[in-house]
Amino acid sequence: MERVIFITKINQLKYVTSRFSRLYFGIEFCERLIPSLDDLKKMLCYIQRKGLNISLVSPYVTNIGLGRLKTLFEFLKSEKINCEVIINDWGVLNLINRKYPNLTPVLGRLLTKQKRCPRLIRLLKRQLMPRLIVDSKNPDQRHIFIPKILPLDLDSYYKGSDTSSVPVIHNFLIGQRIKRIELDNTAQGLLLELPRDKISASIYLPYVYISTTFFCPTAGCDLKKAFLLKIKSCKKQCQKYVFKLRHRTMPKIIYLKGNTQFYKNARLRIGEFAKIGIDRIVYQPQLPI
Amino acid sequence: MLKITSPFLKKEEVLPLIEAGANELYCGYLSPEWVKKYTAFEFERKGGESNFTDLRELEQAVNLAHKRKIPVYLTLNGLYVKEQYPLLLKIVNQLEQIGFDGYIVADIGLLLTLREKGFKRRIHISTGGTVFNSEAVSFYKNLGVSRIVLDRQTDIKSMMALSRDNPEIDFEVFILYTLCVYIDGFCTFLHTSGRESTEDISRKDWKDNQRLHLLTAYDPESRADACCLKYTVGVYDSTGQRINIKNIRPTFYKQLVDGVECGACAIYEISKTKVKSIKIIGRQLSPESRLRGTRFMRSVLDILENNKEINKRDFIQKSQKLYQKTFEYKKRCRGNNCYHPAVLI
Repeated sequence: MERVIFITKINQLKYVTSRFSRLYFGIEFCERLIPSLDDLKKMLCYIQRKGLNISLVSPYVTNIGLGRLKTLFEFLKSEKINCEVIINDWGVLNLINRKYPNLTPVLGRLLTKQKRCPRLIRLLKRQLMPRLIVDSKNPDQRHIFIPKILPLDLDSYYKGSDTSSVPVIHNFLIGQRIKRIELDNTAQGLLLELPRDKISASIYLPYVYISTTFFCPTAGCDLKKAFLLKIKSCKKQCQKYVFKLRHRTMPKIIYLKGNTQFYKNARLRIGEFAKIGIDRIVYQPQLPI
Repeated sequence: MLKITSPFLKKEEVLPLIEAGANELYCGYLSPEWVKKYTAFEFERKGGESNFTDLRELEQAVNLAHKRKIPVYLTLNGLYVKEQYPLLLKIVNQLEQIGFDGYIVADIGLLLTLREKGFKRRIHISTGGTVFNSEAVSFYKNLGVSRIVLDRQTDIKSMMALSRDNPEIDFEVFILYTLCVYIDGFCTFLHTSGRESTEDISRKDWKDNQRLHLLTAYDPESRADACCLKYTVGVYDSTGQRINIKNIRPTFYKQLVDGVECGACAIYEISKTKVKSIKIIGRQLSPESRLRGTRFMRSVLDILENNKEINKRDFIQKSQKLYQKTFEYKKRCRGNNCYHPAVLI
């Protein structure tokens, strides 16, 4: 099982130990945090010294972000560096296959389309019992709750995904030079039907991404004036603050960092993972923003 | 001029929506066979009640629209795993007997399968396709897509660039109701309330404060989408230390919404791009809302059509007055309900 460490900034190199044979560097969720060319060069020097492999992680991007990525890709091409690129945008895949044959695309977790809502943990346990509940909004209203159970036929839907099970997608991915997909360690478990020896999978620990946005909730969070508009200027408050969100209907704490929400699942089941085609564990020492 | 694409749920809505100004229609279909096997829970990321369930009624609705030369598109924008394909393709074959003008899909597997099996209808990529840049447009163009529905969070500059650089692809943008504050195609929260039915089983002589209901639900705790919940928020610095400063808070945009979510003011600028159509959300809303929304958008487009010299400020003023009247919004528009608040600056 290959062990990988995923860092988003140079100052996180302190987390790299001899346990890891590969380093993921970059960002999945925000084009403003795409590493600079200088940082990429420093990272390449580092991995060469340490004898590590590198995978560049790329986010979903507008044309502006595409331009920033092209700068990095052009450098890698000019230096004849072959490496993986984790792609979370079909446009980045298109670009790599058009112009950068030295780069090997890996399907990132935003494109593997798992279902990650924490509420699924409760639903798929199927342990709800009939009971009397009081409506918190209308305490006079009482409900006898009769649970409906999700059919077992939905397990493959909620524990799997289209990219991890559908043959026509597998053939397409192979045709696009993709032989690896990235997955989250969802708390409800995983069901994969990957073609062995053709497509492998990585699993990310411990942070499961749930949702992400261009309307960054963290931008402007420490400004005195309240902003209603969705276009507040970014002062990278995401590098200063993490928010933990709690609600009684959510069985997990939600971590909000920058523009993305996560929950934590550190449960490691190496034996089970290996059986279903997972051969790489990607460790995130911090929330990957 | 921009076309209006309106949602519908019943055959009876077709003619009124067309009269109200819809140039295209779209709808969904939930097969009883699918419900039996997989339930209607979170069908296409909504509850099942937002869809036709009778093929015959659907066919009649489509024929009615075609008599008025109005195209109809069918949404098949769920994500499907391998086990669901046999039933999915059976349903698609049933739908092929109806003369839809095209399908709106999000799943790349379904897109590839439709092409592989030689289905000739137009394919539109929904917001689930997550297109934000020119290379992504090329990606889908190479897969035979003829229209791309841009995510609600796409700004006007991007609309301008993408539509200008790819004239052979139609672009469509959402314009009214339910603005997602997370990227639709990347949001993996459940989008269904979980409550199936509620029946008042109180005795007749029981008072109002003694009501008893029978509630069947998959998840009785789930009363709202995750983006609408009122969370307890803890703030931490980058080292994990708790910070106790009251005015450091993330913005929960949905909690600031106090009216109908709308992008009408942006139509002035959108009309200068090569975007072809504006889409009203609302399969899950009431027929009255769908009709009101269509009329409203028609009136907004009329402001532009009736006065080609109108400037942006006057257009926005007129659109906002129309919005306040149509949706009985008593306050000044200040960006909290806006799809494109940047146009107000």
